[in-house]
Amino acid sequence: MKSYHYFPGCSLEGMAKEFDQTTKDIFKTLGATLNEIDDWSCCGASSAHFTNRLLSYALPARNLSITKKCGGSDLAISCAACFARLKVTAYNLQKDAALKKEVAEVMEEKNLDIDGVRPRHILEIITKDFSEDDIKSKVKKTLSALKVAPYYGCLLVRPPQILEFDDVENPMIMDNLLTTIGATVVDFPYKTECCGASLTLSRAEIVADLSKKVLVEARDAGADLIVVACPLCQANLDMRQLDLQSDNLIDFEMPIIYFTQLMGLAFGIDENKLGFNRHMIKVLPALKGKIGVGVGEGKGE
Amino acid sequence: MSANNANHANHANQKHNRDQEVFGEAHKCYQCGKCFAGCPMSKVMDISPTHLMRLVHLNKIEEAQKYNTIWVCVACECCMTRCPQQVPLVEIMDLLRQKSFAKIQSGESDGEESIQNVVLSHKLFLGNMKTFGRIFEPLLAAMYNVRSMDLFKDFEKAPSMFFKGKLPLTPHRIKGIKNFKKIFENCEMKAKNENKSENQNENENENENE
Repeated sequence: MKSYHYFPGCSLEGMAKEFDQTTKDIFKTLGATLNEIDDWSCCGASSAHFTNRLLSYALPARNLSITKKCGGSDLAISCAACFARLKVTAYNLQKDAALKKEVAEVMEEKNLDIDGVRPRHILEIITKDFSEDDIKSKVKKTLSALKVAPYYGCLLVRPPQILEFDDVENPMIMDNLLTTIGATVVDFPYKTECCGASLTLSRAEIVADLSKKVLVEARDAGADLIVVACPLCQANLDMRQLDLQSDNLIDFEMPIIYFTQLMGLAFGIDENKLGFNRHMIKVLPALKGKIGVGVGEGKGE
Repeated sequence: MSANNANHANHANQKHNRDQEVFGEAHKCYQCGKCFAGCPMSKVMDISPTHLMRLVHLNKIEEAQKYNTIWVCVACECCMTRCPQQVPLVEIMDLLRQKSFAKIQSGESDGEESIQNVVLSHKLFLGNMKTFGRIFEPLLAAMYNVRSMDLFKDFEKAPSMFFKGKLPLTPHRIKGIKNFKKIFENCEMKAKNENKSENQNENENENENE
């Protein structure tokens, strides 16, 4: 049985609880265990690296060090931003001994040991450690009538030389996974455009403007919904849609769901248990009549 | 010079060299403008990332910090990924932001008016994190509204977010909060000292020039 250490991150305790829940559901269905690391803390997000160099390394390093102490190597992460911060830290500290020494000093750790800890995004784990057949064999419901636009955002793919995630301009990992579980993936040129990220607190109008471009492009591509892998992308595209609607800037609704929720749907998990009710833009109407029962024809081989 | 002072000077030197190394990367920029072309924030920036690189290249570090550019950038890293010269724009911007933030923290500068709310949001984010070890989102949003005097921002969404279970009522404080706070304080202290010794260096240079 495959087993991973798991770092949920702050959003998955709050706004994005459904991402946490469905991540666990998917790993369980695939027969793998996730062990949440003990007493993890915030990765520092943008605010740390915008304001204090050492803090931006020390905060992720604390979690990497905990993983090592738990005897872990592969650390599964759902949030794209946490994934980027932890992986950039692991990369830089392993490469730069002087930096590691400085970080150990501010952490007051004599032997800061993070050797061999590999932060990995769950999209990468699901698509690399499990075969297509492993995944297809769990599919219980056909999704072929559902048109989905995969949205990667920024921090899954950039910076490419460190994250080594996928092609930086045209990543296909999520496209391929969604095809594997039977959904119809539309061609979506805005898949790595930025949603405005942390400016959502201080400059909401910019975020609404950027989100609008992504939403309109998905609508024009014929998508029924957008599939994401980042809690901040989800929150921005979902919540700012309400602002855009009240300002009459868009006249349609585009549900924004996590890829784990869509996998849960394909794996036959009750749609009422996937956390769709927690989203601001209603999801179930978009699914109505598009989710078949039983594995559809023309799938598999 | 006492041993302590020598140590301090040595540290300041190292820091100076490291900064120069990062800023020095801007010399590779040949002003093609590709960073600006792909930048999602270009519309709201005072000056473009391309212009900013030029200032850094000319060693106009103080001037580079005056514009809103470094604070409306969200570090999506599009510029850096597409740069034909592999200029580490985000690293350079991070260093400019960190310097600018140290000055704001020490009270030397207020920061440009147009970016005050952005800086405030980072301050509150860090404060929230320092208190609990993790981010407690409802309090962060509420504090931001109070401190930015924008009391009703997203207010209409709060009731439905509450009923959707998006707003937890009680924060989770990590067990290792004492040690966590210590990490924070050590980093803050280091940044403060670095800022101080930088100011001293500048003063000394000015005195020498006179």
